[in-house]
Amino acid sequence: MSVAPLLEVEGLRVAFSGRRVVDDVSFTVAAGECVAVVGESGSGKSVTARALLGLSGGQVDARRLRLGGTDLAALDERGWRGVRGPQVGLVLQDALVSLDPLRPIGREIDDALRLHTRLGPAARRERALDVLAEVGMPDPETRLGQRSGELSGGLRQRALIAAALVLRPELVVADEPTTALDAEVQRVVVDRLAALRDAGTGVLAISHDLGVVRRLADRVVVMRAGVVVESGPTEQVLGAPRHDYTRMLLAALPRGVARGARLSPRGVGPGPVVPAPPAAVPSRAAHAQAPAPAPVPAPAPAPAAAPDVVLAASGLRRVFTARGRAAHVAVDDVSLELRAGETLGLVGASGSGKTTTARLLLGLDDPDAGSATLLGQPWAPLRERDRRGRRAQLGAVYQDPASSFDPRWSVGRVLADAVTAGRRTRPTGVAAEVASLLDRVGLEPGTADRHPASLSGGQRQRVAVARALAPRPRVLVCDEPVSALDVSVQAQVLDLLDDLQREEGLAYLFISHDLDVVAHMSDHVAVMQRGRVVEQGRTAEVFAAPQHPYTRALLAARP
Amino acid sequence: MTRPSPTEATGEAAPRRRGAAEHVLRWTLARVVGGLVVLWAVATLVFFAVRLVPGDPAEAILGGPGSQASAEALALVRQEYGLDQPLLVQYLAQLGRLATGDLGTSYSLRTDVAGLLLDQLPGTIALALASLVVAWAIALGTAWWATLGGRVAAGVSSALEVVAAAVPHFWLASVLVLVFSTQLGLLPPVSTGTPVGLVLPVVTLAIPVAGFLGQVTRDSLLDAASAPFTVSARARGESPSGLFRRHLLRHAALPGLALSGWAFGSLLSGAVVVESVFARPGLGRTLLGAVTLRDIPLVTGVALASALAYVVVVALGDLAERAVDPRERAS
Amino acid sequence: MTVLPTLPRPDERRGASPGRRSRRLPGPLGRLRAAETVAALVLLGVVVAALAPGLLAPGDPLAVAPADAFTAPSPAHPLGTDESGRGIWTRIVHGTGASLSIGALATLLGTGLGVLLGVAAGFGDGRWPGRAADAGVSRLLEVLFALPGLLLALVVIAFTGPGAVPATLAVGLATAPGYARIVRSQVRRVRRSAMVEAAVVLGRRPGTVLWRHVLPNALAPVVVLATLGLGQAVVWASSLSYLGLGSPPPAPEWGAMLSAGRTYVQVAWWTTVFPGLAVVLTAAASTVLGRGLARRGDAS
Repeated sequence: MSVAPLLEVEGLRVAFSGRRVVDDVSFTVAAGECVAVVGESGSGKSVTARALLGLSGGQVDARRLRLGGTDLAALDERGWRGVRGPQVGLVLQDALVSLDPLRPIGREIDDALRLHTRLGPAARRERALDVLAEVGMPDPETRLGQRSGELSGGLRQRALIAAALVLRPELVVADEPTTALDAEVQRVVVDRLAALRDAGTGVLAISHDLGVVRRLADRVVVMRAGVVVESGPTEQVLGAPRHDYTRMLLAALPRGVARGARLSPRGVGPGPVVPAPPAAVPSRAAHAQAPAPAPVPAPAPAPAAAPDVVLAASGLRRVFTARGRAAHVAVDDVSLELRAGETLGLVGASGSGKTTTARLLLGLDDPDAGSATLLGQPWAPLRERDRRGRRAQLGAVYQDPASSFDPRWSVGRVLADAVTAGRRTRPTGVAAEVASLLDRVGLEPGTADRHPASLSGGQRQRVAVARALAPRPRVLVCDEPVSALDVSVQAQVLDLLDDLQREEGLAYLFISHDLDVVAHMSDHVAVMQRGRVVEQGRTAEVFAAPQHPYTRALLAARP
Repeated sequence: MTRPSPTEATGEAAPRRRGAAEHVLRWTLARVVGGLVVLWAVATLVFFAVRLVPGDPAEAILGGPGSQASAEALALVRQEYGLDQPLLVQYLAQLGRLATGDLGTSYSLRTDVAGLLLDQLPGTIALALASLVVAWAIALGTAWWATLGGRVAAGVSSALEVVAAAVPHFWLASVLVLVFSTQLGLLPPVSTGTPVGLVLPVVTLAIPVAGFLGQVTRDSLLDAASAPFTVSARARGESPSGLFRRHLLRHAALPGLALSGWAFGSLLSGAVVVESVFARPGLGRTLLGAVTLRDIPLVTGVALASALAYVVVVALGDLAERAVDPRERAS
Repeated sequence: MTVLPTLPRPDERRGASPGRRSRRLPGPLGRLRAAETVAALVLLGVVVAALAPGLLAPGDPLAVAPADAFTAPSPAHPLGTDESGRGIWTRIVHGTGASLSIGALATLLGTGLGVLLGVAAGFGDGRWPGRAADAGVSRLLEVLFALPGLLLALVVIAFTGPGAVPATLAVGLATAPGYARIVRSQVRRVRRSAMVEAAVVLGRRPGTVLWRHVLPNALAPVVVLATLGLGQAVVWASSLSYLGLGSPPPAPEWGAMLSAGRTYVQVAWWTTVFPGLAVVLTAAASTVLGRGLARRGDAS
């Protein structure tokens, strides 16, 4: 099959103030083909994508940069403006911010037509309606006049894609098109892009989500620190990776990894450095290759007696009322149990009530009905002064810990504060405890003098875990603790949480929208939809044989 | 793990407002009530201030301890304001008078305050509104220039804005008169009845406000220029001027609109100086005279008029803001 | 007259946008931008002039020399002389104390009052005493805003009579609402932050949370605001003097000097331009410095 490539990139280099961010990157995209560029933050993949539209900034040069018949390297700004839109389209991630929130989507689409065609207003409207229908937008006439904020998640993303497609570009660049979206909406986007590819458009997808890549891409390019480390057909790169980095990335994926098995190489946390046994790699890779959601391997045999219930909730209900709006039932008749040494995963789309449930369990909010007990004692609803003394039993880890640290404090101060909180007398040896906490989460002692803002995402999350552990809790509530982290860092933090649970016998409530992570981390799982728990049970059973249609839909939506 | 807003919690887009007409009615009612409360508060504050000032309240009303008011005038005032009656009665009587539009009599000008205000108000309002328009034009113009002109333009406009906001009206007026009147002879140094005579006062009033509006606008312009929707627009082939006109302008203007009440207030207070420098009749000059002579009824009247104007402008600014940005916002 | 104390956006420190590049000085001052250094030096000069005017201008600001009236700027009198033959430079320098002290004291008063009101209002959600306080203070602030800036100062002066002390009081009261509004929103923001929630989860008592987290973080910008507001206060104070309601003559206060020079502007422009320039420089310098401090505070 000798189709001339649509897009030819050879020796692409991008530098900002002398610092090379993309170094000698080469790849091609053919018409009707989808190429995925994969990498973690700092890999240069986004800059590469923008460079294909002349939007990267900095100094760009390449040995060869051609799209169709156009030499992109020779374009000036004016020339670029002619290329952007009709020849190449860009799809960004969240449509809430990627479409002008103050303008109706019809105008966003109309702009592209007005800039590049000579069509009159009626003809432009026709084209806009056509493209909206193409992307599966119901009732396009009404939608034209609505702003992105007025549409639901899935519809907005369709509008975003429509705006990029309306001029029928030969190449579509999608920069992290599924990040921060719900699973169902992600599926919409992936399906649309796949349809595009099948219809003959070339698609360049930038993503860190290997699941999406597997579904969408014909070929994969793996980038790290500005260079391409590996590239080739998807099955080959993801199935039998040649480069260590790719292998490490794949090994870090939680899908199909047994409960308790490590995701990251040892040596990052406490303990000696032990390289991952080579035999493990092909089996994980084999799992990574499976097209359908693979059944989770049988977990370790359950202990003879069920461990103690540490935190129990029964019939929790929380309703929010706001002036001028109907009352919103955030949590409706939710009953859960957390047992020592075990993890309860909580999954559901955004808005399903997971976070509100977590807040109720942490005692940050009181339920309107129902109750909760902690270690057998009443916990909610209760007067704060009656439960403050027992708060040491609970810890919390959030998605973005940066905002939960006092911006003036160093890491050491944050931890020292956590160590002394809730205790009547100041224990001697606070410094020693802080050092021991840092060690347990795998951070160097020198970290205590640093400021959280200067740490990497993974390090900050470790500090958050250390802070949560400081009062020696029995329960940790983790709300999307790894969602903002790169895959490899995510693997390390998940391993850390696993190790700590084994060592301390902690009970975890693990909230995530990522089913693979939940499947790997949880013994039991509860599925929430619109405030209610629609299904609950042992993870292996629920994921293998989901009973409720919503659970089935969630599992099916995984790429 | 911050509290989810009810909107986010539904996972759907914000529900449409129930009944646009009902909403408008509610909003108008809230504004009117709010405005009345403000007016009431101003009147009350003044009432108590007069009586808290040491000395005879009658004297205070007539211009303070040094006014050498005659005994008959004092007696007249005492009778008119019922100063020998219990405080509550006085207060209610005062409120009653105000409610009927009787703002008392200015002793220094010997006329009815309400009538005087109605006379002077239009001139000042015209001045303030014209200045607001000019200030916005300058602010947006420099914002445009800064976006298109690159590094140098941005630096220069930033410096100009800081200086403009720091310039006192009285000095600016003098300098402008010096340059345009004395040296160049282009514009009259005092206000004549003609539009030409309006130019210098308007420019003087507008520049400091433009300086501040410019700073605020440029900040939000920078935000918008690096937002994802701008990248999307550029990816469609949008030109810089198109980008500004269709996208950035609206976003940049939002905080300025939110501050329009403050801006108008600043213009009103600047009008005091500007009217006096350019000998232009208006509320500001009236207030100055009243303050110098400590003519309390007149001061009260001007304060009330200013408060009323402020409330109206804030309401209008709110409307404008909603027109540009109809998104529901949690307060 | 219109320097509203607001905080510059945190992304001013992002070097990526065009025009944001600033010239940096080499050496130990390298971390400062050129503009801020100049501003700091100007303010330093102003403070020296206020405290020890004799150092910068050895003459007597009140010495009358009618023969020298209205001389243009010359080596003997760098900024010219006024209608009584007094050197403008000397009078400006000696007047710094008056202008600056009114402005500084008014700013202190305004920030103090603003902080009190803002904190009271910031605690006004949820339970009762708080909500009443918030409602009360918010209404009060609305009213004070309805009488903007100079107008409010003028109304106060109508009751107190003119003079330096009443002017200080008036300007202080007039600046307070601006501070109060910002402090209020800061307090509310911090109270809702994840940092406070984390402290609650750890089991900290409300008083501790307030003292350790809420107040220090909510009030951290006040110093910056005060620096920004100082310029505004100086402008208002000199405006009042210009209108004859502040420091009485023959005090060499800047606004008063300008007022006196107003009549002679066609003959002797230097009597008007230079005193006003002093106001502008002081106000601009404090704004630049204030914004620089805010930027630095955000970046840390």
